Amino acid sequence: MQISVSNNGKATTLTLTGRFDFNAHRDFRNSYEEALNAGGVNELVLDMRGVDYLDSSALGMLLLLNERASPSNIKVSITNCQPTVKMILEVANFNKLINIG
Amino acid sequence: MASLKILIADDNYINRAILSTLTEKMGHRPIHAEDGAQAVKLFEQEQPDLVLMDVMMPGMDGMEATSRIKKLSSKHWTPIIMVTALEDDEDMIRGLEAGADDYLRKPVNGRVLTTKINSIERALELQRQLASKTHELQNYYFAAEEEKRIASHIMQSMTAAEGLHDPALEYWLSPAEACSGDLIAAARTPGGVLHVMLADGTGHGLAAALNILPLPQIFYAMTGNGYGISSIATEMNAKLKNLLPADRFIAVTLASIDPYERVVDVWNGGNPDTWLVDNQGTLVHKWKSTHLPLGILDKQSFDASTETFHFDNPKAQLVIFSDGLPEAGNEHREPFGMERLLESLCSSAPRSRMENLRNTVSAYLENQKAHDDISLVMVNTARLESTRMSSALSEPMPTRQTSSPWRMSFHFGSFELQNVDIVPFTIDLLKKLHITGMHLGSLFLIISELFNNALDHGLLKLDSRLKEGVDGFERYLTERAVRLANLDPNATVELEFEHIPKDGKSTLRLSFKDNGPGFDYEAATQNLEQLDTAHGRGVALVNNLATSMRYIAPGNKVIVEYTM
Repeated sequence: MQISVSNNGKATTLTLTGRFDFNAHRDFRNSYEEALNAGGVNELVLDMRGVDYLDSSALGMLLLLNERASPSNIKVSITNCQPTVKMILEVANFNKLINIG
Repeated sequence: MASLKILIADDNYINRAILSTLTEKMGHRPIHAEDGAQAVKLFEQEQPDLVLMDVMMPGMDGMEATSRIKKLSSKHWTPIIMVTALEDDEDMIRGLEAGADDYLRKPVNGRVLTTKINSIERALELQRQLASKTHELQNYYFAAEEEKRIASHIMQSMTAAEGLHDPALEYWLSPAEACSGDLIAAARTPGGVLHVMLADGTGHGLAAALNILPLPQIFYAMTGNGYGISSIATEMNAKLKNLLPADRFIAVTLASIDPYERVVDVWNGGNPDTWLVDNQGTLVHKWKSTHLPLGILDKQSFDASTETFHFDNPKAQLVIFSDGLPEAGNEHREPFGMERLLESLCSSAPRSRMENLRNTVSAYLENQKAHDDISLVMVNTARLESTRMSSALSEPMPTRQTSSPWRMSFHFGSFELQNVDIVPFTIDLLKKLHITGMHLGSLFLIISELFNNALDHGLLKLDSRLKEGVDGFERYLTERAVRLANLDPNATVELEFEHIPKDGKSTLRLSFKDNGPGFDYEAATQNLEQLDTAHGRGVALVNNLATSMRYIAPGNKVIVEYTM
């Protein structure tokens, strides 16, 4: 999975491309740690337009991110999900934890 | 550099002495053979690290000895250096063909020999490291296999409960690895309600299996005490939240099928839809995942609410499966999918649904192995019907040793009535007082019917007729939840259980009293033979199970005797 980072002053966006599974673990964590440690960030957006598959370890990574972000009151949201990804997030009811647009 | 044991094979004493002196100076340990046969023999006995082999020797020559030695040391590389006459390329080529690794020209030049031995030593060192890594890997592999064996044994013993042999149940569990991260469990409550659980831990294999390990015990213990699936889900979630790392969770479906009330109740957190398909192949109802999987939310945010469905047609199948089934892919990585799954179920006769589905799935996958655990469980509601009555009434009761008299009484106020599962609580106490088996089942039915009457009708003043008609049951439950939340703070229910051993027989006297206005018990007790009317059925059931039953005016107290 490839991850690119952009910032519009208020929100940092991680744009993800490829399969979001266990192999993405280290890259994903490094990317969000770097974004969150940069300071001045109050929203982190995961743009999933390029993600065609997401497995349960990816869901686990989202939980870790959420746990890392919520004590600092940083809002995490997910946008542009493809249908398969959207369905996986829906079955797991992750919209109860993370804002999914 | 390490000291090598070097076998020098040469029929010429002078040559042996030269090679011997040179290698000794380098710190190695030479041993000598005077012909090919002796070289092979010494090789076997001494296991040298390196062989210097002359070609021309009487008897067995160097070529023959080389190929024999290579055969002997096929698993472990022992380099052989051929020592050939200067002008003889043919010997050198034949030697390499026979299996030699390098060659030296005669007369042997000390510096060339040193260089060659040093380079061979580096290769030997690499080989040694590789062998030790391979050995280590092999040990890891064996240890991992052993751990898997133990884990899968424990999983099997924890899941292989009697409940899975329920005649109403069919299931299919196909792990992607030696041990499954999916788990199916089933058991009846003391009142004959069937509970089914399908759990799917994150990932698969050993780690996933470890995650789900705490579940079966909670499931079986709580079902055995008659707890409902909401309480079971709450308990499991609290346990897993404590135990699991933050990125691990378990998708769980809990279903309770009450054949008597014809009610299916489902809690689905993170699994695919649960389906109810009738015998004609119509999808009657589906339960979507409405909750997060277990192990994510803390106690305060956890939502244990279930979705209840009342089925009129008693002949239907409840189908629960993990996502490994619809996601199983063929060779083009196209998943089997929910549509194909439903189509396969609906298009076959109820009896052959499981078999038909398995065949369809394996035909679809061809020889591809599913990458995730597959699990599916089907409950044939037709085979569940009325087993509660038969198990409670027709099977022989175990004989019981009489014990001493005892008595306990409880006074529950509005907080306890709203927040405590009182029936399982009393059942647990009776179990600890050595009341078991069929007696416990009958007592569970008596206690739950009479306690629920006291609460639902005596205090909440709910009318059983609410349950009639389409969606009647759901309507009843919604109304019940509203009234329970607004329960009069002074409401009470008093329970008294007394054990009376007499003439070698054991009798339990149970009394239930609420502080409501009472009800028209005379009307309710008139038609006790009619077990199948929608209301008053509970009272008739109790009357059948108990030795005696007596209402006290104005109908807010009932005393039941049950002789074991």
